Amino acid sequence: MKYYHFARIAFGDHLNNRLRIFTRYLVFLLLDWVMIAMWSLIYKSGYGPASIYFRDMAWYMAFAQMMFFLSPRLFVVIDSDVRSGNIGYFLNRPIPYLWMRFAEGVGALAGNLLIYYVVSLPFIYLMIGDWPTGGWIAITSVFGGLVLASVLHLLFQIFAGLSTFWTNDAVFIYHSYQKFCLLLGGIYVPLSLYPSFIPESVLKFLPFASLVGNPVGLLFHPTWWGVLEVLALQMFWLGFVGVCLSMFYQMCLRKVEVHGG
Amino acid sequence: MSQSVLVENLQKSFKVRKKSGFLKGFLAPEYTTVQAVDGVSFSLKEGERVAFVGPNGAGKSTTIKMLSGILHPDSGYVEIGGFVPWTERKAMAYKIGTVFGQRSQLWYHLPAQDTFELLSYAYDMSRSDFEGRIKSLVDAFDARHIVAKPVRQLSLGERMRCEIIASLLHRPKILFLDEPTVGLDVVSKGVIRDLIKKASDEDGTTVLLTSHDTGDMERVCDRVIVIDHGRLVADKPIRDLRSGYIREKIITLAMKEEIISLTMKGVRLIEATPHQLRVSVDTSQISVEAVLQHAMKLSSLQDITVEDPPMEDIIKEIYAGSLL
Repeated sequence: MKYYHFARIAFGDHLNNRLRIFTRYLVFLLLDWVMIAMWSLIYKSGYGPASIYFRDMAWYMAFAQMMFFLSPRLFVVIDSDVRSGNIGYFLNRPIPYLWMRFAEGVGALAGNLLIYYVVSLPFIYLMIGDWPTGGWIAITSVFGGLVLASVLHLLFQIFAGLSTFWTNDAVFIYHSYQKFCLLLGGIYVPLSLYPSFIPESVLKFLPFASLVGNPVGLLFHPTWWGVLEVLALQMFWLGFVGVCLSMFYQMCLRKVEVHGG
Repeated sequence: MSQSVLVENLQKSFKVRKKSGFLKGFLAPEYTTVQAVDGVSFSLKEGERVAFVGPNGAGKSTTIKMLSGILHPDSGYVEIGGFVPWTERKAMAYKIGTVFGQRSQLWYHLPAQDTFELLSYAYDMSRSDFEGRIKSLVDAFDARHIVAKPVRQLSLGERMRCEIIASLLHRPKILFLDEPTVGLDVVSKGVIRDLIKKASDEDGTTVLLTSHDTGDMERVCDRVIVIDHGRLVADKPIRDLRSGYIREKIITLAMKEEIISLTMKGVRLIEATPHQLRVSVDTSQISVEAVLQHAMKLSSLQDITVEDPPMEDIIKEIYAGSLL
């Protein structure tokens, strides 16, 4: 229950920082506009994939970019806590630092979900000029999948943040992780369009696909079975990464050193 | 009174990487060991207020971090309210409160009252208990008008009041304060010192306070433990230190005249520069007021500063063996 309250306070704190929300949202819209414009050009020149309508591809791109904007930049907070030694000051509280920060991340994520889900639809619609073929069922399925994807992304961010104990800088770990997402996650191209030498079933199983390709891919075929399949795989990765993170955190605790005279 | 804090032969060292060339540093880094705490032992009774003082790098913050469960010692034994900090950290957390002057436990963008509420959940306080406790603390700290403001809008003194409220919220038996008055102005320092003392008197809280400021220990504590280079140098009632060392005051005078001669019994010249004079006053021989009155007769004073002697000087004298 105490985690709920940490998430609740983080939700309020996040929404209080309006300038940060506004600038991040502006960058998201700009990125969406670029991606949609680029695919529009590809389709107009006749090189668009025949199996996917332009409007579906455009909505896919918009939602694929959204995933990285939904989660707060938790790795920056943890990186800073580790580097400044602040992490030590949280250890003498009756709540584990790892799950406290996770709860705060979920709280901020909830704030972003509220903003991005509500505000983005009209903007994206204005940029594309049409709804996806799957209609509201497709959009709702993607929204559901993106919630768990963002939570999974939070866990990966915590991993990156805690890696500072060894690397002294989480940024390059986070960027490496992001590159894997870009390459294997289906951020710029749907997984079904990847070259045939990478089996789609393998791609879909990887955690990177559970972040973007699988949940956003529900836009193309929003079936109950498809939704369940995506959610089940996300749950698997959440559990797996969560357990690994707990063990990793125990290793980190042994390295906690706060200097000061 | 039963024992609240027990520290036996506590040791902690840090490995510091030596500077070397890129390749050598990468392949075979070399380290030097710095002994931060070297065999410190002491105990505190319930309700005791103890100042833990020493110059920069003496090991006082490292010790307090080990006592509050932040750092693991290399060796030695510690018991805080019956718990060993590094093995029973969570259980001990309910018994202790911590204030680190240079770190904040408050949420920056939110009012302090939101942090208090959050901490009440972290410490499993019931709603009625929390509401009663926060009301009494806010009244005692005269903080009703500040707890509703976002923390970023508070002055350092106001923020420190909120930090102390946050650390006392769950009625800790032991309060660790690391430089609680650092960076505060004279008035705010006085307020914070009085509030810590009052809170300790009312709840019987044991206080262990580290500070560079002799005023903190004089106004808050009954006993002082001095450490230097990680070793315990003195453990005395505060009155002994006061009669031995804090009787000295440093007065700096800025005047219109280029130079004046302030020759009086108990007054020792430290430095004389054009339009400025710095003297040490032994308050057991002459009062500060008498010195200032005499100085005003001799010159047109433009500014006066009265300070305690630096902690480093006190430590040096203790080392010289005059107190031990």
